[in-house]
Amino acid sequence: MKDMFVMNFRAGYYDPVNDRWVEPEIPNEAITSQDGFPGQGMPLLWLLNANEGALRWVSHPLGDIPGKIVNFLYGYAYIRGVYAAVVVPSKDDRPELAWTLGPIWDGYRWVQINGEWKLVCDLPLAPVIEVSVSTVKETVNSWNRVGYNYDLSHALACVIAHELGHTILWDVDHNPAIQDGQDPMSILTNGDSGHHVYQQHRMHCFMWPYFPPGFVPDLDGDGNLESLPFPNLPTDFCDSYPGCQSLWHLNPK
Amino acid sequence: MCKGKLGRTLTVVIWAILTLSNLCHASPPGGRIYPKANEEATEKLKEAYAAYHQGWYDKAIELAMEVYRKYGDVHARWWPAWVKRLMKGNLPDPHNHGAILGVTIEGKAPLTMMVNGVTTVWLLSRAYLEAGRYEELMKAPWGDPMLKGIASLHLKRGDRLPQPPSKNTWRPLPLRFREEDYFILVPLDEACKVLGLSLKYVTDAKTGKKIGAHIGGKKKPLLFNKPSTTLPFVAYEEQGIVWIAFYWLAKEAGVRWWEVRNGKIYIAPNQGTK
Repeated sequence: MKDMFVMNFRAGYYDPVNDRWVEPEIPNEAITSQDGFPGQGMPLLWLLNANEGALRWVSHPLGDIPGKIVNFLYGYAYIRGVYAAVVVPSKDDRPELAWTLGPIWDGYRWVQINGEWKLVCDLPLAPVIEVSVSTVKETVNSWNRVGYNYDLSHALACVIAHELGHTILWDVDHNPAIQDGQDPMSILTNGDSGHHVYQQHRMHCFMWPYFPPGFVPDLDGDGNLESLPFPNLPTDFCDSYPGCQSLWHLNPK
Repeated sequence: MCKGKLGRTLTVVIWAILTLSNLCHASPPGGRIYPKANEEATEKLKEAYAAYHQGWYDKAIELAMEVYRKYGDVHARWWPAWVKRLMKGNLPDPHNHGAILGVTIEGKAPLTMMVNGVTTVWLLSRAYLEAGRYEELMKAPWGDPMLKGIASLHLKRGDRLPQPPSKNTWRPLPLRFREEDYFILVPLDEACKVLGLSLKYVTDAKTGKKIGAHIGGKKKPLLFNKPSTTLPFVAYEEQGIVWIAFYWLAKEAGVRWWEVRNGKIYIAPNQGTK
């Protein structure tokens, strides 16, 4: 993939009437920072005007949800190696830190047009990422109170990068033997949607299933954590074990 | 070039047919979908949410635990009163996640930032942690694994939260208040005077209306009627009076402990007030 386009639905902006800067809910730097998404081997990232594209509704376990039809993606995303995602702040504590709804490749399929097989996209939707800024803030504060020194904007960049990772690694299942599950062990080992697998993959990567990366809860109930988070937050996806940097692609391959 | 155009036209036709057939499915979210809280549980969790943010953690625990015992780990979502006023009731069901997201990304109103939501266990776990009841959280079979982890580190460090002084020493503030969505609201001008905080309004250049204020000498103004994901309550103006959540101002003034007793706001002594 060459290029990635992201719309930030609560970036800061200048209010010309009152000659003032309206503070962002999600600073653009949390998306564009070198501490987050645009790491080694990653596509070039562009920020888009949030008003780009129309709505398209799709069915979902949460009920019908909207996606953005981004015109330039339509029919070209796979061929051109471009991609888009929408980042929206949330106030609910579900999604906890953040979650991702609807990757764009759901609508891709091969069709014969004038005797030629072509890849067309029926559903050129940019996936939506909801980020609970307050939960990220509270989580950072909680870890800092027990001796860590995490920076909020770096933490936000990690959380958004993790979700951007899901939008593309959605189909990657690192451990087909375990599916989903809500208990700490299956969260750590299911490997769904590109998540890293406990005791198998690197822990210092955006795709670690817990935030902050490196954290493993008390699995045996002895009152001790199995692993503490890393003192420094990651600044990139891993290049090996499992090599998230090289797994980036759009489906179908 | 012509071939490309034809190809694109055909693709558009195919896309339109498929669009009409409406067979599209999005992938599930990367998280658990919780049972919806009923009306009773929603009201209790709403009160617990306000108690948590106002620093009354034990009350938050009591209310949320009642919901947990009766209904388990449920998800409550509601529209705050200020949002209902602002949108004149023109709002989707708070549990209609898609409609709320749709209005937001259409750019009509940032509804995802205006709807409040909590789940029982997440709220309970956070309240136990903030109350310093680490051991209880560690032992709880329902506790959030990450927050339990943080609690275990507090215990290892021997952290103990400071205790409030005896309530006999607390004094009432000469300050009127009202309650909305279980938050205690006070008039901004009067409260700033009582708490010894400086206040400078920001007015709209066009209408002259108060749109925000610099409080306590802060460079960044607090904007009124502006949704925020990091503030559980917003300030608003009504008939010339700006109403603001007392807990927020109290924090700015260095007041750690406060409560409402016999129709008055009481604060613990020597906490930054004049």
